[in-house]
Amino acid sequence: MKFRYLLILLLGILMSACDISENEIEPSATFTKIYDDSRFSEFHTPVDVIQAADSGYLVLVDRKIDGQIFSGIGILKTDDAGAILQFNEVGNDLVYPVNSWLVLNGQLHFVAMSSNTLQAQLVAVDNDGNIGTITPLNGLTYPMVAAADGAGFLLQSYNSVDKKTVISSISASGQLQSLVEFDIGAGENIEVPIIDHFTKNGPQLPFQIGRTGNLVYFNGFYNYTLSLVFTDLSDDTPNGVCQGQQNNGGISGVSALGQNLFAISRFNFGDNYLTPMASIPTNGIMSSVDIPGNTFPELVKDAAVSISQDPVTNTLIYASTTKSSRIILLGFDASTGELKGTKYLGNLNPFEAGSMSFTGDGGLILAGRTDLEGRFSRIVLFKLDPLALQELTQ
Amino acid sequence: MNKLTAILLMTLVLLSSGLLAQNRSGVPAKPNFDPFLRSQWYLGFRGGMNLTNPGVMNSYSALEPLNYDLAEIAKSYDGMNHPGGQAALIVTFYTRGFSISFEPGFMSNIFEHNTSVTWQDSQNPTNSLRVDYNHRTRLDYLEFPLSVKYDLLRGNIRPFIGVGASYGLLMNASRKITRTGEDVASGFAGPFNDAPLTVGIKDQFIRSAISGKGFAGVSYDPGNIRLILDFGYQFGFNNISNTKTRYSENLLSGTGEATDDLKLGLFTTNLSVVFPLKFISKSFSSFN
Repeated sequence: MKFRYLLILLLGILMSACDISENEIEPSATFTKIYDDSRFSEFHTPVDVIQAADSGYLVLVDRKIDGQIFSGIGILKTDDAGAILQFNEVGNDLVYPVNSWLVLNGQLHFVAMSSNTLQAQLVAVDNDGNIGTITPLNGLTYPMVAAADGAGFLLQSYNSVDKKTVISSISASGQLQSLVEFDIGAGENIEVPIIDHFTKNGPQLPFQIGRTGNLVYFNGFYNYTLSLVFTDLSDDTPNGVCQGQQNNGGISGVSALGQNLFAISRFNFGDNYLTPMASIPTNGIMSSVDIPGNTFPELVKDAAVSISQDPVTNTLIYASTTKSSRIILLGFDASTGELKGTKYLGNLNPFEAGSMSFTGDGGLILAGRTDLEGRFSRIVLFKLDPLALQELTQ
Repeated sequence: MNKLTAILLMTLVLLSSGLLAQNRSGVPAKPNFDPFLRSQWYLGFRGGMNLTNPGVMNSYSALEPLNYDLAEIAKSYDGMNHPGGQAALIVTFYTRGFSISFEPGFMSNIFEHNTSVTWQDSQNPTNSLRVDYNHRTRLDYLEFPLSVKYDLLRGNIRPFIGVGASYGLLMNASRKITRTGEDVASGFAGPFNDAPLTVGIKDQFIRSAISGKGFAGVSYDPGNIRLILDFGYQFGFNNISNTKTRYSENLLSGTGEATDDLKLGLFTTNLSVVFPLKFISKSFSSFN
């Protein structure tokens, strides 16, 4: 009888101890890494992150440089577990890396600006983070935002001489294919928010560009306001406009879902609204305040929002920053707009969301910024495994 | 898993042999020898203290230095300054100098590690910030130890040696973090000492801790009770840190903290009191 009780006890221990054999995980499956620099003067902000062909990660980094008007550039290469392989501090003649990595003809590129001529440059990068060919994009200055488009890419830039927003379609080799300019309005002060955006003396504006069907859309300055503009690139008359409120309101994040549907985030005098399925006419005029959506008061004022669509689970992931200085991820069903889950990242230091992309193992890599000890701006990478991502997708 | 299975099989064999010793029909009795008269059951309790010697299997950090060596911010462990405690119920079967004990109880282990990071103004290196973190970790386990010991002498004072194995079930884990340092960012020394922060970190560890133990001590029988003093070393067999939540459920990653893979070693000492359950009379002793 006593022996039976002992057997039951041992069986219970055996079952409870199963967690020992299951206590194994690939280091690449999930990690949090903060990339520290011991120098006071270095302030790093991630621009974009992508998984390289060798499963490591490449982070395009905005580096504040003392005494320079525009940000410098760094390229961080890590292995698949986030350990540093190389941090390439790009020379000061290239500045201001724009929003995104571009995969053109199978090779990574990004767009930056010449510190001498302010001309846009297409920069090739190898898998280790080394700079390759640099192709000047003639005639285009102040590059703001770029997005891959078929075999080439789309670029929004600023013509400071004529005060025009410039939308161009460019081949993978850097040849201009089409270009349209849009008036931002008259007056000396109209370009102040744009220049402050470049010099980081003012708010970072949510410039965007992309394609929906036959039309190119861009979120940029047009006719005195920060607007979501639709154009077929044939002339300087937009096909459709979703107007903001000068630079106090408008679209803060957009991802095309097809036809007139968009995953949207918008801001309006400090408030933030998320609309995972917004119907916006691409051939008419409307105001961004007329887009329905729920307000998210926990987000910081005029929050920057990054939106990605998980093709596997058909989920829209929104990444932004809360007033408590944490990163928030929200998962919405891309078909119904229903909120599926919320996840918070970051503690103790202030954290700020940046860009994200999905990884080969079905997880997510998110690049953000954190202020170590409350003062040193450093890059942080959060790698979520598919199980963690399920909190947002199921 | 193989280790675990082996330990449990050993445990079963030990238990079986102990129980068979009570079985009159098990082993044939020698002439003039009644096994019943040569065995004893004891019930009692023990209490003691332990010092934790954390063994780092693999070290991890949430900080990745871009321009300095990771070794500069490596953790340094210390478990010898902070004693933990343990208390347990004792059930012992004794025969022919051998004692088999099952001692379910509670054990707390305390250890700490320290990290330090320094930032400097590259233009003026005397302007710097040094931040030191002290992490004091406390783990509370429900322990299920099984041990065998052998009395080296017979008599009222008996030195003994023994070995054992134990299964620990994690009940609670917490960490007290103290941030201190020196802020010379403006060129003047400004030492600081923040109020400690205590957080629960049970998610950072798995439920199970399996360990082995070697010990030695002495017992004394002043009359119908037995007092036992022992010293031992308990060594962990498995990694007690949860590899799956090292980063995902880590509230402290903002400081660069990531839990290392750890096996705990423990120096233990106990004082026990046990009472015989058979033959409690002045005229008979079953100890011999």
